[in-house]
Amino acid sequence: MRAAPFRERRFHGGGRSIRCMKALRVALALIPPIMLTFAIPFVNRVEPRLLGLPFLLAWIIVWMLIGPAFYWAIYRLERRA
Amino acid sequence: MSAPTVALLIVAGVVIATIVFGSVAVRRLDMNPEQYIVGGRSFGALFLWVLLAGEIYTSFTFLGAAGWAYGRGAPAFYILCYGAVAYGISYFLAPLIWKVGKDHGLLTAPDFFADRYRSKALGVIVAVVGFVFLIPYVTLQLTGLQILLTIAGYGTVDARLAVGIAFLAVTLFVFASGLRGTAWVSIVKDALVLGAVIFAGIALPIRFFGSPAAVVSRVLDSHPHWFTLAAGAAPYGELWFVTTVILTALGFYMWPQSFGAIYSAKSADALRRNAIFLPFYQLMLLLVYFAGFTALLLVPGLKSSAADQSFMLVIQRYYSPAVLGLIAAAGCLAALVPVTGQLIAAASLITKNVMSDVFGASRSERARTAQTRGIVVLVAALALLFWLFRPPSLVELLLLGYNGVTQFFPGVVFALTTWRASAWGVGGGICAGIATLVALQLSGHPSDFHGVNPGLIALGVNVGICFFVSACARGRRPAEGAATAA
Repeated sequence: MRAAPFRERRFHGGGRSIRCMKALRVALALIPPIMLTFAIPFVNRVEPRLLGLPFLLAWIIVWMLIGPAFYWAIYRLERRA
Repeated sequence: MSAPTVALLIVAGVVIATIVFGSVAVRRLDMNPEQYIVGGRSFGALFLWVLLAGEIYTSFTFLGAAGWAYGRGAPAFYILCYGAVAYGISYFLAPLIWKVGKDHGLLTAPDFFADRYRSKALGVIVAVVGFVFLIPYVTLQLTGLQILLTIAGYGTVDARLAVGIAFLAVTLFVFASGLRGTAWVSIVKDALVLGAVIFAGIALPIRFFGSPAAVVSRVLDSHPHWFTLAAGAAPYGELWFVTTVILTALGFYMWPQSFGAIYSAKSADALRRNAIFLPFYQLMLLLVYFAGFTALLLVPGLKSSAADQSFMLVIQRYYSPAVLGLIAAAGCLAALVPVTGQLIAAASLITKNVMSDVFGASRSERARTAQTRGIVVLVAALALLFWLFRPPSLVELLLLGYNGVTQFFPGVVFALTTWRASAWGVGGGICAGIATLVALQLSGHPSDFHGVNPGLIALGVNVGICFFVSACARGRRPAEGAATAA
């Protein structure tokens, strides 16, 4: 038994600007997760401290807070498309 | 009145008031299975936000996060990270799952597999695996409840009896009100937990050390390495952190109750907006860490699982019974509200995907709602028994559960992409992944792979088997594949 094809594609190739927009959305989507996973070993330190918080914890909090802005931007871009 | 009486009366009052509130809110609803299990697919962004927050942030999130901050330090931050990553994944994944559910009238997680891969057998595999991993999760909430009630009773009452009574009340509530009831009581739970967490994470540090930042400095003085991870492949080091965040983020929405929550959305848009705003709920965890750090300074020396009780012990020692009762009540709701969602999900797996799909039991909607309700009670009894005679390594069971449900992830993704895996491939992959997990666990060295989370290794085996079997099946039956694709 094979799965039924399932596609919810809004773009079938399309023009160059549409492809650019798609690349932009993929990039926006990937940045926060990468900052909270693969980037962690590079920010694993106490100094410099931000508002008294050790750098590692401050880094995680900052990305947690601005992550939603990235997805909000994607949401707006999708709406416009 | 004595201190334990005051604290326990407050807990009982809050829990009863919440249940009454939830029951009144849903009393006029006509219960068909769709209403009972997925709330009639009518939840808007805000109601969904409350439901998801209610189901995701359990007593174990709070006790466990404080316990890890107290006992381990920086590794505890993984909880903060994986939630944020999981919401990013869910922004794209949840609307797609929702659309399939809406178009095909799905109710459970196994329904998704059975529908996409046209195989009821695969649905049964997913139902059984999901059920097996869900029971320890329910049991874990009971353990959280036990910790809270023991502390609220100042150690003078038999907490097991109290847990039994609370659990019975919640089971009756679920029996009557279904998933919509869960969403309503989540509102009360979230409000109380927010208050408790602000108290524990801000008021507590200010009273004893002046400010939360001062707590950090004091901890750094006594434990210089508390806010950084061990380098490379050390236990709970950097590699462990990164792989664990990835694994748990992938598994986040793979729990059966998460599928129920996704289906309950009114629109795909509600889920997208939800994914954008749920991370703000995570801020509560930050305050919980501060509660844990404060406890580390005030009541040092608690070992292993006793660390989970650390900040509750601080409140018990330094505050009035009324304050302790309110905080414990918030914690008890954080245990009981997720249990309601979990019981509904577990019961619907059995009624829908095993009894109805395999044995063809009763087709009328009324009968199926009645069956689901009956199974809710049975599942609750099973969880209670499991809790009473529980195996000693419950936390390991939960970690195994997280690693277990993550094995559904490849099947979900392949079902939504143009590359088509076969039912045998997905089923074989899930079984192989879980066999790998069990083998790693039984080998006694589950964390010996240079700090790599064992679930990620199992996931690799899973995907490999899935590709291999699907490719073989494709080679054997090309005509059928072509027909489906056309």
